[in-house]
Amino acid sequence: MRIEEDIVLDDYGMRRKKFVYDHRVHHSYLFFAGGQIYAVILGFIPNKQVFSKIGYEMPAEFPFPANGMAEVYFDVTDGMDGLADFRHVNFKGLGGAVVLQQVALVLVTHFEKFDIGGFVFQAASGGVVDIGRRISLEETYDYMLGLKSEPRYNFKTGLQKKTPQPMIHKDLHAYKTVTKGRACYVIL
Amino acid sequence: MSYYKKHERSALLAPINSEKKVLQELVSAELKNHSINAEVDLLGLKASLATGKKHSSATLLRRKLKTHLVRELHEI
Repeated sequence: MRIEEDIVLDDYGMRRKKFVYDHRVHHSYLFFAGGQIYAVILGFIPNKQVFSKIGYEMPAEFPFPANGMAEVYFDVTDGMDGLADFRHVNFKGLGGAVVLQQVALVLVTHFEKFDIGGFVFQAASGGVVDIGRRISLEETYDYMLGLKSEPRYNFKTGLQKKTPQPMIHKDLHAYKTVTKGRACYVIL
Repeated sequence: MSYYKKHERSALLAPINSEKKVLQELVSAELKNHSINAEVDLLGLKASLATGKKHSSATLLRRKLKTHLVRELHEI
């Protein structure tokens, strides 16, 4: 695999790289948070056949966008140990929120830059993914995308927490399907 | 238990393995490009990513979400 393009996005503190893997164009956005480098990968999905082959599902009421979609996943990339196991990363303070904000920023930036119809991703779960998490990635994404707004309570004090603000642009909408145990999110 | 615990987990393995391969290939490509001293390059990359940003993620995201999307629509 060859990295075809490497661009510094100064304003966002990110680097965008372009590469081809499995005959599909991918972009990776690297950013730094909580002492670690993260990579958000956006793999272009040109048509419904590829989309379905990977195992994603569109919401029943929408056709696959004519200009394609991007599948999204992200993880820490420091070294090869545990790479892409999607393990929980412990942060002091609000570090976890910073990572999610940065990922949301990547999605908006990518959507503005490239001609794509939307995004698709799944919530990893099971095994090492869930170790150390107070709430699952699925529940985190539900709050992040504005699909859930039920009050949350502090684990220790029992006091109600501030409701998280959705991290999705008002012109985009998130749809969730759960099939065969997999939570799949489509943003259009 | 919560709704979130009810899903079967086995079906999740295949797509995650595919994602893992892409991430590993990406890191391998990076190491090949910078094979002389990968550790120094990694520290340099961390430093450049950490110092390059002019505003916090929260501020940048808040701005993006409040304004209209400005699409350039470059072909992938």
